[in-house]
Amino acid sequence: MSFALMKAAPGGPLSIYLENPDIRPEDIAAIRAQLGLDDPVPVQYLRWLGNLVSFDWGYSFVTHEPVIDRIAQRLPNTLVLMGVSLVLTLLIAIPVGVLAAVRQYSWFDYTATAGAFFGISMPVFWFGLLLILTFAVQLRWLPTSGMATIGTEFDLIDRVRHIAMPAGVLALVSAAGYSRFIRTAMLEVIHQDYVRTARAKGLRERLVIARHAAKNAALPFVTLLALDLPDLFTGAVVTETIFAWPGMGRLYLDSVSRLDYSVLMAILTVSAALLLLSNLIADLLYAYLDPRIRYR
Amino acid sequence: MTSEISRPVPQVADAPGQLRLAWERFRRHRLALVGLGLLTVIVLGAAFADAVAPYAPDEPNVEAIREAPGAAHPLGTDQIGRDQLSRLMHGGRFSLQVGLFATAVSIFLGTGIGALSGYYGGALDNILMRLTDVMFTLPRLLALLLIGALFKLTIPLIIVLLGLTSWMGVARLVRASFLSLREKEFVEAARAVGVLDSRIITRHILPNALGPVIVAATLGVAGAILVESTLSYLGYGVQPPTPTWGNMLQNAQSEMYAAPWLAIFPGLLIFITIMSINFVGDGLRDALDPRSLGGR
Repeated sequence: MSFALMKAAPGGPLSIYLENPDIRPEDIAAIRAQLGLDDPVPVQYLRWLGNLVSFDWGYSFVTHEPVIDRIAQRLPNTLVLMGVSLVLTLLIAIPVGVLAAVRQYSWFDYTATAGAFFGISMPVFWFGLLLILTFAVQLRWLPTSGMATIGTEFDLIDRVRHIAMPAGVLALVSAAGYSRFIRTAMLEVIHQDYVRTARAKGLRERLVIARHAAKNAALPFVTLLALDLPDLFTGAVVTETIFAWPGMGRLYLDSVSRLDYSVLMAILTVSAALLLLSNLIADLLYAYLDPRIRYR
Repeated sequence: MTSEISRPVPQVADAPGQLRLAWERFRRHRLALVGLGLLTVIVLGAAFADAVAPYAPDEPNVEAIREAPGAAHPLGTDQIGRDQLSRLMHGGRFSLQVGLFATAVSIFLGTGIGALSGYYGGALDNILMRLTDVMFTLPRLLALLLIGALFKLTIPLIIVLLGLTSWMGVARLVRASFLSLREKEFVEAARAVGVLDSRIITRHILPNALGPVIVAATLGVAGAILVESTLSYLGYGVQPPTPTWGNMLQNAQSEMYAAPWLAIFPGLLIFITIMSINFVGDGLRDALDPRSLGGR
């Protein structure tokens, strides 16, 4: 079994090489234009790779700070935002999806379907603007932007008020798609023989759903979720822009507008690493949820 | 359930009969009809914007700056007095065009790659599918933003870029259909009488694999419109003064206190369009792809 895991996980280091060719051509052309570098691509690539592993990520072309510092400043903020919105997403999507499947064709199912269609069709940036318009401009309950009120000490309530809207936007939009997916996965599982067996044994319905059905329905969902983590990161670019959240997404956008290549490359590398990490997590969770590790 | 009425048997499509059956199924999907109706209105409004729009889209009016929606300007005016309804109608042309043509590009690529991959298999399949995997891991929005910063994005360029970065799902779909269809008797028969590969692919297999592709295409249009508007919102899509639904929202955030309608209507239109397309896509799925009928 551990061999299977090893086989599955090392997709990792290999695909980082696979991925870099995507990133390189544009970057190289641009950097060469700026600095007049004329080394052959493989040489540059190897040097860059060498610097990468020794955490010498160069200096920002604009602010001249070490890139690693800038990333280190911003990455935690993005991870906090992603983490909170992911938890919110799951808290919404799982109960809604499961309940919609258990009570198929009930009013709840139909409401959830309608809600999902709304969420899937909602442009993230517009949803964000609407929330600002409602909660910040009209009702004045929540701050429009930023991560904390400027000039104050760390204050949990203040932080929560600031994160509510950006995390809410991300969560509601992604929960829409996931609740659909969970519903479909649950429906598939619920009609299987072993679920009927569990019921026939006289187990309580709640237990049947939670232990027998949901756990099996979770398999494809976990994979989907892990593979979608990079999307969450992309979504953060938009959300961080609307709410002026000082994270990686905004750093990326700022660096794009100033063509700050060393920072851009670092961010792309970090997001590639994130992708690999999420694939690894998916594999590990998969093995945990399904001891047989069946691969289709 | 409409699934029992007819399951298209995989055989060379009998076009008129199949189409009528599909329409019969589509008609039962009420939301899809609503979506189709809304879409028709939006498309007509955009297509005949020159004739129907009350004002010229680029005509400033100092007498009516930031005017709230009212009799003269049904959706209000912007910061230099341009009529928002007219701008939305004209902007719709670009947004819809980008959606349609980008999807055309991606369907063309996806179908071609998927067909070759599925029909021939072997090494070609391996290469093409690895390419697909790599493209899937490319953080699309991040890449598009970078390209948008390096080059001035024109509408044709955006169309090509969106197409180039969105064919992978279709390729996998088509490949899967081809894998199963190429083993079917009618393909074997065609091969036995000496029909050319190219003709088998385009005439015998492709028509039978088209259902899911059409559904994917519909949803692809929605996705392309969404990405384009996100890109434009962030300032790296189609540049003003050419109005698109996305770039009209670009400045709306700073105007939110003075003119909230500038933030509401462009987004609402994007939302309605995308939701309508999703409804139509759902209806088409039921009509053309009975296997995936919700809940079986």
